[in-house]
Amino acid sequence: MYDFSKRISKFHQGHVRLTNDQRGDMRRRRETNLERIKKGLEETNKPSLAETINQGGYAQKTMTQPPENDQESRYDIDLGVVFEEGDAGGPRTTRNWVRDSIARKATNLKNAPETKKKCVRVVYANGYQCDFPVFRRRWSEVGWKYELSSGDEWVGSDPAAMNKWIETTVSAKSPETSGSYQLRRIIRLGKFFSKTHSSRLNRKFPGGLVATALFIEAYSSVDGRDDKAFRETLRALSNRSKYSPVYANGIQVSDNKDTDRIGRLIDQAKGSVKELDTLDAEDATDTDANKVWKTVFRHRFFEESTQDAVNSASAFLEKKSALGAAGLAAPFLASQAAAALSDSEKNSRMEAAVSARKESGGGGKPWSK
Amino acid sequence: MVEVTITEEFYSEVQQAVAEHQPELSVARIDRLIILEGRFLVYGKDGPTDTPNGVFDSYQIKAGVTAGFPIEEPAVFEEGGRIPRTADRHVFPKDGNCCLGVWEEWLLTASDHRFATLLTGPMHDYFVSQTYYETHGVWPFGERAHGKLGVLEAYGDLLGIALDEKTISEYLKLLSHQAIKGHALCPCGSGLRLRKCHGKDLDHLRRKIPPAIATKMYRSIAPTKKS
Repeated sequence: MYDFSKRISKFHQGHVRLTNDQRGDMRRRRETNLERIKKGLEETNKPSLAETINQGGYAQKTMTQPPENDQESRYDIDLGVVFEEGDAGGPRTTRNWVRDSIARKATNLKNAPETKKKCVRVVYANGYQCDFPVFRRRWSEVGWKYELSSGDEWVGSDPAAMNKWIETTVSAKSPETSGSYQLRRIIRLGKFFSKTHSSRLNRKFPGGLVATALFIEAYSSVDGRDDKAFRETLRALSNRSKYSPVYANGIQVSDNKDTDRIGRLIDQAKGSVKELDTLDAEDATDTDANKVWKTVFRHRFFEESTQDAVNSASAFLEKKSALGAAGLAAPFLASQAAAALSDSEKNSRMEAAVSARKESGGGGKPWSK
Repeated sequence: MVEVTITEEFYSEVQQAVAEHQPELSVARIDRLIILEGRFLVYGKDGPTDTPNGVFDSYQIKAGVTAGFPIEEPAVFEEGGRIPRTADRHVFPKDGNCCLGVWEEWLLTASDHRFATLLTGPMHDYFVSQTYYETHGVWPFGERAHGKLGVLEAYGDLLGIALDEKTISEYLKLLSHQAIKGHALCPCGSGLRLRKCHGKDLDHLRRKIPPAIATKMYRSIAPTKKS
C-alpha cells in the first residue's frame, strides 16, 4: 500500500483531534456548567455535590473536530455529578434538583433543561449539548460504590469504569509507537469518518460510545502506519454484521435503533476499502493517494497544496544529494563574496541597487494576507 | 485544481532563467512542480557578479513553481530563519511563505510573464526590500497594506481610481463581462450612463485587464457566499 502515513498523521493532528483552543473551550464549558449546578443547589438549599466525573469522548480523549462539510455541528460534553448517598433524594427527585439548579442559572438555553431517563440534558442556543448523569455514592469495603439515577431506580454503575476500560484497551492493543497510542488515533479517525459521511448523506451514523466500541472491536494494528491500520480496521468493520450487538467493557452498548446506523457505517467502510485497495498498485503516486484519501475523509486537506508538494519534494532533493548526485559545484560563489563584504560596502551596493531599481520604474511592493 | 504536468519547454525556460540570474539555486522537477533550492542572490544592476554594482546579499530559499505558472503564483520560502515569520515582514505567518506582492498586479503590469521576469522582478525586489528593511526599517519600494486592504490598494492603482471598495468592485464586475455596453450605469457611482461618463477609461482598462483576470480579481474581494 502506498505509504501515506505521514500525511494521515498530519491530517489527524490538524483536522481530526481537537485543537488546544477547542479543548480549552470544552474545559470552560465544563466549568461553567459545574458552577451553575453548585450555585443553583446552594440557592435552592439542596445538598452539595460530592464529586464530578468527566464522561464520554472528552474523558476518553476521543473527541474529534466537526467534519469539513458541517463546521456548525457541535460536540457534546458529558459530566457525571455525584451526591453522597445520605444527601441524595429519590432517583427522580435528585435528577430534578440538578435540572432546576441549571435552569435557575443558565440564560442562553435553547429550551428548558430536561430530565431524561438517565441524565439531565441541556441544549444551548448555539447547539452545544450537555448531558449530566446523576449518581449517588457510598463507601464500602471495596471502595466507593456508585449508583446511577435511572428512571425511578438507583442502579449500580461505575461512572469511571468505561473510561478506565477504554484507557486500558487503548494501551494494551496499540503497538508502542512514538508517544501516543495508535488505537486512540484510529478511534478518532473512525469517529471523524462516521460523522463526515453522516452529515454528507444526512443520515444517522453511529456516534459516541457505539462508534468508539465498534472501532475498538475492528481495530487492526500496523506499527508506524496509521494509514494502513485505518484501512485494515475499515476492512474488519466491513466484514461484520450490522445485527451483532456492540459491546464495551462487557456491556452491550448498542440497541435496536443502532442497527441501521451501523449498517450505513459498514457500507461506507466497504466503499472506502475498495478505494483504498487501489493504492496497492506498484505505480501509485502521491497524487493518487491524495485523490483516494479525499474520498475517504471528504476533506480539502487532500487537495495537495503547493507548499506540501514543495516540502515533500525537498525530501526528495535531500535524498538525491545524499546519493552524490548534487548539482555542479560552482567555481565561484557570489553569496560567499557578499557575506564577506563590510557593512559599509554592503550598504553602498544596496543603495545603488535600490536607486537603480527606482529609476527603472520602481520595484514590487510586498503584501501580506 | 488544473492537473497538468511541467512541460519540457517550461522546464528548460526555468533552467535557463536560473542559470543566468540565480546561479546558486538548484532546479529539480517532480510530477507537477519545479523546485528551486539554494541561495538566492541579491544584487545591483551588474547582476550576479562580485562588482560594486553586483551581489550584496543572499538568502537561503526554497521555491515551488507549478505548471500553472504564470496564472498560479509560485510559493517561495525563506529557509535560513532570517526573516521573521510575521505579516509585518510580509511572510504569511501560517504557512511561512513569502508574499512577493499582489499577484494580479504583477500579472497586469509586467512586460511579459516569462519566468526570468519574475525572478529578476518581484522575487528579487522582495529580497532587496528585506535587506533594506533590516538596515533602514522602511520598505524601499513601498509596501501594500495587510490583507484585503492591500489588494484593494493594488486594484485601485491598476484601475486608476480611488481606494473605495464598492467602486473598485463595480469596476471589476463590469470588466469581467465579455462585452461592455455603453448604456450600462457607470461604475463610478455618478448615476450616468457609461458612454456619458467613464466610458473611455473603461475601454482603456479593457485592453489592459482581460475579463478572465477581472473575474478572478472581482472574486478575490467580493464577499463570499456561505454555502
